[in-house]
Amino acid sequence: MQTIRVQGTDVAYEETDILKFDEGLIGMPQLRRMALIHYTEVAPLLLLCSLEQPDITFLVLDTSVHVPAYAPRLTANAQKQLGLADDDAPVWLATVTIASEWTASTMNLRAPIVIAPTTMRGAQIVLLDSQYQLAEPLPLGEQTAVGK
Amino acid sequence: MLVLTRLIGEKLVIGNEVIIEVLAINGDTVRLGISAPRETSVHRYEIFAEIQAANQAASQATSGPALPNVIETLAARLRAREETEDKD
Repeated sequence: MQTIRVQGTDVAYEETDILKFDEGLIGMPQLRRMALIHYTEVAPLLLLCSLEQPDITFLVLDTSVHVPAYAPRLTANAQKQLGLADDDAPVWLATVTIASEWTASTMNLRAPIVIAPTTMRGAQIVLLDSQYQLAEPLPLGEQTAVGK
Repeated sequence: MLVLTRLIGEKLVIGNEVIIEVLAINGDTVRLGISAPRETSVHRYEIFAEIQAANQAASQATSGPALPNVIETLAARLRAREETEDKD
């Protein structure tokens, strides 16, 4: 078990939580190793913490649970890069941007992070022909509408 | 920044595998053809810059003194919604 400091608290993670991003994230190519951490304090959001730059932590949402209508298509090439077998389902994560007013917080469904759970390799994919935007409302209940 | 002048039909090569060809010029518009390995992502710069800005904003999710309360509220709302859906 190892720990990383988030909001002044040491958060534990295992070696098996570490994801490899061969190309980093878009515009942030230095982020090659990140830990995807289930942290009770923020659940069902997950922490995606850079292991190279400890000041960088994303909050992400598993879209399969919270945006079930969201079903991006992974290209064969991306599938190969991730080492995703044909019978393995990828996990699509949306990064969440926190606003000072909680109702204004958003998630990025236009450029999601996709993960191959068996190889623990990830990539950020741009959906070019998508109706989803970089800042979509979070699925918080009646006041927001997600699932186009 | 490297600046090169090219004519229509001429090409540039970046690294060993990325080739860019000037296909046509029409007024202010330049039409480019790009040959790159399938694993090399190619985007219009505006899209790249928008996503980079979105990533930078999201990467500071757990910084700032007022934000822990916001995250706590969001997490509670998402949990409540999950529980409501489980009951349905």
